[in-house]
Amino acid sequence: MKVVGVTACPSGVAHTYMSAEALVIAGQKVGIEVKIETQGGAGIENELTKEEIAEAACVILSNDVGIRNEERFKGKKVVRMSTSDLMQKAEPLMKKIKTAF
Amino acid sequence: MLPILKKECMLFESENMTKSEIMQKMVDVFDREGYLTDKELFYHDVAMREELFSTCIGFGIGIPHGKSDAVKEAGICTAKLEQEVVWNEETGDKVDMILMIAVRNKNDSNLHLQILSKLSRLLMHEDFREKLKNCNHEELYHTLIENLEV
Repeated sequence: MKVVGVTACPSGVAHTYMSAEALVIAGQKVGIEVKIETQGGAGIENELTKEEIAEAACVILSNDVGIRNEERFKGKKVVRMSTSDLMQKAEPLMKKIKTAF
Repeated sequence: MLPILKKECMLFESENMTKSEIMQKMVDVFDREGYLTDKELFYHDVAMREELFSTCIGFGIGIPHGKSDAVKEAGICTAKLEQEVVWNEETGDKVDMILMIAVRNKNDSNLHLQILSKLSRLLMHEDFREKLKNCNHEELYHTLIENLEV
């Protein structure tokens, strides 16, 4: 199973990256291949490709601040949470995704 | 160019302090070491960010950070506390390890931002957190420097 996502936070310094990493770690634990694009102070990194988005079972988007190029995810199942919640609840979220999709 | 981390910016506190006291002390250290142009403004910016929502990331670690016009060059200031301090008033979450991050509001170098994003990512790894929390002054410096190379 593959899951993609995008994270961004107000300052673009810490939570963008912490939540992205937490999701990848949680994915490894439950056996989901996770790729997270970060839209932080250093710009857009690890940008998702069309193919990756098409293959993903669902899309995780942080909702602290607006996500750039969100129209890419039209028609996909989207989960929205704050970066803090993503950090703290990454593992239960991944487990839920695994059973739901 | 200032290094992102100096030994002079690593505090060990045995006294009981409040959140604002330790934050003020860390801001003073940044200022003394030449990272700031205006310490009052920097404190204000970090405190504002903290008010938005607490930077307690769990595991007894807080990472106050501010993107601020008062920052000359990006840096990290650390504090290990012998006595825990409440970092999130709402949840009562306490911390005994603080990593304060200063970033320029505009035009900070990509290198700085990459180092800080690497630190943020590392903090999500349990083995790294354990290392940070269980080492002495010298070891902490080396652990951070070694891991933050980009």
